[in-house]
Amino acid sequence: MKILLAIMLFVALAHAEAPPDADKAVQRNFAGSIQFDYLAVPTEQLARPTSLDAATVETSLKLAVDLTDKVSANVKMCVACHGPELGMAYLDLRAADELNVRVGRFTPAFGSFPQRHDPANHRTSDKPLPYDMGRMLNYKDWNEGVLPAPWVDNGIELDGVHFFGGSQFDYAAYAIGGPKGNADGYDFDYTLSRSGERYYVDNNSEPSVGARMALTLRLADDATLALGASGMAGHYDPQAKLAFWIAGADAVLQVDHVFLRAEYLVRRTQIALGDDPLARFKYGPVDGHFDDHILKDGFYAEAEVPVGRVDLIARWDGLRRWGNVLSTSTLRESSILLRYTAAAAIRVVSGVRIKASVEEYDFSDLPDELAVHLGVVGSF
Amino acid sequence: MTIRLALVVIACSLSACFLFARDTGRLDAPPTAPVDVRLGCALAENRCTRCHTVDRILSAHVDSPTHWQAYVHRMRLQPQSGILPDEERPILGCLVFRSFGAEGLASLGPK
Repeated sequence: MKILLAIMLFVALAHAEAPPDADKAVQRNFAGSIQFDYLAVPTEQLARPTSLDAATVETSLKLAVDLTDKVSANVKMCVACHGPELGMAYLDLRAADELNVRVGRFTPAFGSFPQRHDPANHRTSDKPLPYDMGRMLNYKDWNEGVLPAPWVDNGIELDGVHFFGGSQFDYAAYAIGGPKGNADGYDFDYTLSRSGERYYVDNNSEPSVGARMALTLRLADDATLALGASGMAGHYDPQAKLAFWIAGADAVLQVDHVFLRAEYLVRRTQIALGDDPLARFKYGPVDGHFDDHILKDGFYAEAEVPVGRVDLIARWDGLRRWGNVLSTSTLRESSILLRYTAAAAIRVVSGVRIKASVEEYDFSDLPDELAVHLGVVGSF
Repeated sequence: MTIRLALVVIACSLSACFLFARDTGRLDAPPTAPVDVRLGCALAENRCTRCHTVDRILSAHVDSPTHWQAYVHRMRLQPQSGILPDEERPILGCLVFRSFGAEGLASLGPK
């Protein structure tokens, strides 16, 4: 019912009568995408206990309205594994190219991939591991990626672009509600960020803050190199005592229609030791002291090469985690996951692509796995 | 069984590619387009695909040349768009010509 109402609202807004003459500047753009993906895990008899395998559908409906040449509004609804969510609901108030104020619910500027997170905008069925949001195998053991994409939060962001010569400089600085966890936090609990019962508000009265800078250099008429650095920090528990910080670096080289991309993310997260850490954790104290931090990092490097109507993608990505683990965890004090992906996105007809990929998972603490994705994505 | 099913679907998909082979998936300029429009289309295809597919452009619901103008301007200001200020007009020229022809292009006024 919620989905139906939201769809009706979007359709109504998108097909609203043309604005009166006095308001001709108002421009509306309605766009959307649907991805159906089937994930098979041939190395498992029954993969569901550890993975969200089989069929999934990701849908997005977006309405962008240019109210004036300085003010625009964006609303995006997404439906995926965990039901309907608002992926965007913000206003952009632009004073100049170099100064824009974004307020509302949005994806704060962090990294390169989140700009292409929509399934119709990137060529593989799933996301690079640092940005995984539940589609990786054994996602519960790893608690997903470093910063699942798209990260959607309430807040305010100052951003802008400046062009000089053949190059472009981007910046953004923001304050958002931030990731959430419990008082006895062991890591982020992503379900709290999408729980109506826990409210879509900051859980500790203290915003998390972040910033990003990027430089896009024109190497030739058809070649650019984009470099970026991002950071975010704050507290994630209700008492605002458990701190975290995330840092990232990214590079994208485009030569004609060929792309080489690489990103690295690292997150340091403080954990609650609790009253009885000896019973809670798998590993005991070192020199009589329990380390109350974990470190998690992730990377990906990929090449995307179009050959006719087929885009070929080769990707190498991974996650690493250091630090104590709960006594029930399958991971160790130091765990590594490497994944190798070969993928193709085949353009069948305008707006419709078939995505196919094979992924080999190399776990340090769990059996290695093979995953096969086959899906269809359409944009409209 | 799953693998077999996957192979059948892949085979059907590849067949479908040939079925729709006339669809180029490029941002082609119409045959009557002047040279600067053709250059603008090549530029648009290069710049816009940094963040999304050409299909996003082909399926955009745009109802006037000024609509494209606002759209392209907003896209240029996206982070890492790579669209320089002096590239906005050639890209706009391509999109307006494709949607509204020479008349639409003329309605934008002088460059």
